Amino acid sequence: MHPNKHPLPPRRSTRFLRWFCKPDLLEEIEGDLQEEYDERLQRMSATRARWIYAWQVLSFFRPFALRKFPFPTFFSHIMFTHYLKIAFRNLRRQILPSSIKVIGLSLGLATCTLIFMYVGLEQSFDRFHEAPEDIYRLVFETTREDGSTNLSPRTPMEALPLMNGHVPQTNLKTSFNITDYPIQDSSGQVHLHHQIAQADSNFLSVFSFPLEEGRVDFSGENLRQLLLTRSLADKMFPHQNPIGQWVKVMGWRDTLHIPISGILADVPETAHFTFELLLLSKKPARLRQDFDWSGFSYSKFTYLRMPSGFSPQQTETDLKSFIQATGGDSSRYAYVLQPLLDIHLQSHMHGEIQPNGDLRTVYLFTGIAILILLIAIINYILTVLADFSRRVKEIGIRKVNGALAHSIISQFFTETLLYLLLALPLVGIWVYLAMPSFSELVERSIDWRILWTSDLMWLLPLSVALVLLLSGLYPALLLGRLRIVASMKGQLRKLNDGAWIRKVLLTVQFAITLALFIGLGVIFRQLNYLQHKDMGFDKNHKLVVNLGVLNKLSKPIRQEMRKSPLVRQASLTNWVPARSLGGYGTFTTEEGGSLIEVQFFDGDEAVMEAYGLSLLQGRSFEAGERVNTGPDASPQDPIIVNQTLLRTLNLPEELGQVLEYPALRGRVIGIMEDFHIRNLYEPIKPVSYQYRDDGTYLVMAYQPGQGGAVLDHFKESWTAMGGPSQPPYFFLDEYLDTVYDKEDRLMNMLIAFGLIAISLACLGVFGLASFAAARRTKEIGIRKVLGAGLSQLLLLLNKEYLMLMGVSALLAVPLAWYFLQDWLNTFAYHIELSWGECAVALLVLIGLVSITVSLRSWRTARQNPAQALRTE
Amino acid sequence: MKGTHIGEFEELVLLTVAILYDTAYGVAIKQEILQQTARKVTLSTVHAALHRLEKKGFLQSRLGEATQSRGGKRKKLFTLTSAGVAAIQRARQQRNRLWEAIPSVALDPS
Repeated sequence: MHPNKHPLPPRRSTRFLRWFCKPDLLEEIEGDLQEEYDERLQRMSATRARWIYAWQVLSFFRPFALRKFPFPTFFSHIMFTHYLKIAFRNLRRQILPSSIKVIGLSLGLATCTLIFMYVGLEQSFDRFHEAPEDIYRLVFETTREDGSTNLSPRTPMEALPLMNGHVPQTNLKTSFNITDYPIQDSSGQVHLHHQIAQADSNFLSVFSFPLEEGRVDFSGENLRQLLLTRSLADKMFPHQNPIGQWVKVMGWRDTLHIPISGILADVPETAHFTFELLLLSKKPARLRQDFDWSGFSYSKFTYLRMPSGFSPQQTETDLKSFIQATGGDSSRYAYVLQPLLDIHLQSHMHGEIQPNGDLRTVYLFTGIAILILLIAIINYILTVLADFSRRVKEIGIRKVNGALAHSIISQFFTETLLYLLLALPLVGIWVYLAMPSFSELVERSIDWRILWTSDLMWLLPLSVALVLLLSGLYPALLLGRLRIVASMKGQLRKLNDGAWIRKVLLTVQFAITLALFIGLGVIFRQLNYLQHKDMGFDKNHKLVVNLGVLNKLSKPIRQEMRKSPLVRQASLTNWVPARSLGGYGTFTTEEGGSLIEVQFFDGDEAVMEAYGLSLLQGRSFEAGERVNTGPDASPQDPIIVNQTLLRTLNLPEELGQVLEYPALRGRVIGIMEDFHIRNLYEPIKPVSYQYRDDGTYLVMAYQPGQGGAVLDHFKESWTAMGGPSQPPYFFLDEYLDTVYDKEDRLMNMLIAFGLIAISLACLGVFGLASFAAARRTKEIGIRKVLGAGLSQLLLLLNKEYLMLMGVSALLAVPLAWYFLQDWLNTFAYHIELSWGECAVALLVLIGLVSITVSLRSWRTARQNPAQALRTE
Repeated sequence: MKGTHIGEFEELVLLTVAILYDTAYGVAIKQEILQQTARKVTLSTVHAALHRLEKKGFLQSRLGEATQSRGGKRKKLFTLTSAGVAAIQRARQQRNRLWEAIPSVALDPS
């Protein structure tokens, strides 16, 4: 037989077969396989024959052919119960170290469980829809002249009706927007602040929001159908059948009187948009066939349900030809398909329906989960090692009696298993206790169900297994390999062979803790900076009431409030710092020049006084002054601008200049000092103050300490004027404190995890210190005899840890520095990193560790040296 | 008695071993089954069944001569034991009895 003509069967498979197969079966099986393989080579390609051979080998991996493997004796039943018994005795005798181990493991696992629950929840967003992977959102991409692009989740509304037929791969397309209109029920009561989704009749075919009662019927003259979610229906019509009840939806332009035709289940919390009412319309509200691409408005979100296996590129090409067919410039405008499942974590466009989650937070949490788990494992190992000196003799006796290394190893694994089993119920308790505050921290309602519905939950048993393996491995190997004679003598010098591993573990633990501490310090300082930075306006003693758009009562109530002696100034405006803006416009000063963004804030003549903004030059508007704004503005209309605007346009700070740009026209009558119109994430931008007497918000600056009285006065006047239900209000300083909630939560999270990390680290150090104290009893005795004082001894025992902490600082500081700088750069205004935080963090760590070590070593150092020297 | 019962596939293997008298080994049995019944079975299934039947005492085996083919590995040749012969006869009689017990009407195609 020529070797080239008959290549050998794959060697790796044969080796595998020889490894697992019973020796007495091996010859016939190998022969049979070879015979078939040779025969196959005649009929098919060598590659295929090799694949079949490998597969055949695998198919022999079944009980009848398996040889006996040594592991069944590894965990023999009798020895297992014996190990358990010993472990239980140890546990009872050593209550403190044992509880350290159990608590450490349970804290680590509980943190992981919570974080996995959160990550699982974030990943489950929008998966409740039927075939969610087939749903896409249309995203509108505009390419500016300078080549930069802008993505918008809303697409030109006027183009939507024309699009039918241009996307041949699907006709399941739905467009909607979500607004907040007042609703009036049949008893005349007005309900404010309920989100209404206005959609076309395809909405419920694209999305899966189950209809619980009633039906959607578009037959005949039915052009509109109103559906309520279960909880809103229960709230508006307690103890009544909501179906058929008439309600009024008080819209922007006109009021719609409509009966309720069905009840939907509540929108799941894991939807990236939510609503309480659903208004379905058979036809788009206004059909305009004369659409051209010179002007359009973005107001609707469009989602498509595609057939599975379609080609996104094809649809995007179809949409491109749609733009061209309707006379649009396809190099400027484009439609992009965004998968529904990517929206929640990855989409952060301007004008999202509702704020989305953040993939970075998910990564951050996952990273922290891994770190905490690592610390818990290290802690367990260190605590086991601490108990070493006592165990060495036991192991020696076992070895003399014939125990092999692997039985010692299995003993220690059994012990780890026992501690893990004891820790598991504790994990449940920790998670149960921490769930409410954790839910608050991450702003989601987390509940147990996510544990078995999420795809990620295999991670949990995996981490338990990882803990078992890693925690058990090192002590088991180290103790298993111990030399008999050395251990019988109680001589532990040999153990120093493994000392570097202990040091590495400890250093890693210190570094993680230190990094968390530094992060905590920096975030704390930045948050403090954000909350106390001079914003250019006065946030104190301001009551803000949201009157709603174009409220008829807004001017009378402003007048009424101005009369009160408690109110220093009352103003109607659309600007609330870090919350709402009049609008913004962009333009370029020259062809191809960089884009300038101007933020507008609208208000009446009193808005600057109400907010405490300072006017550097010129005058403010006068009440009732006739000023055109927006597209109607002429270059002679008066405007007031901020310093940054003039600086950006390279203009001097002079009054009377005439500005004439596409989005900004007027004659400068006043110059304002710069102030932060939004938040500190972005730098101060050009701002133009436009006079408008019909703002949404009523801002009242009141005399210090009179907030409650002003609020009462407002409520009384509002009711006296016949206003419907009380409009929502807030105090500006309280509101601004919540603007940096995200950072606040981040800090709270780091506090919580930092505490867990430091307590675990201290537990580990405590264990190690006990070990060191026991090991050095004699040395300490001799030193004392020779005249060493208590403080010298404590320093001696602490020295090792000090060095390790120094090394850990070298590790932790650059890493923390890098990540924190990255984080700080998300703010336009931020503190500078300083060595201060690092030093303080290191000092705190050193302090805590030294206290732990000294507490443990105190007794040894105080011992009578004679007694220490007498111990054998 | 436990262990004397044979399954359908085991019966098939026993019969094939009987057909191939003295030349019955893994690959040959597999091919014979394919020819006789058009059933494609994997080699490991055949081996598992042979192994089981040998343990039950229905088959005995010996190692054949080493040859150049098969990578120099010897064949394991199986033959029926008397218990094996009894087992297939018993199975056959059982079938016959059952067939005879069927009323002719039941087999009427209409």
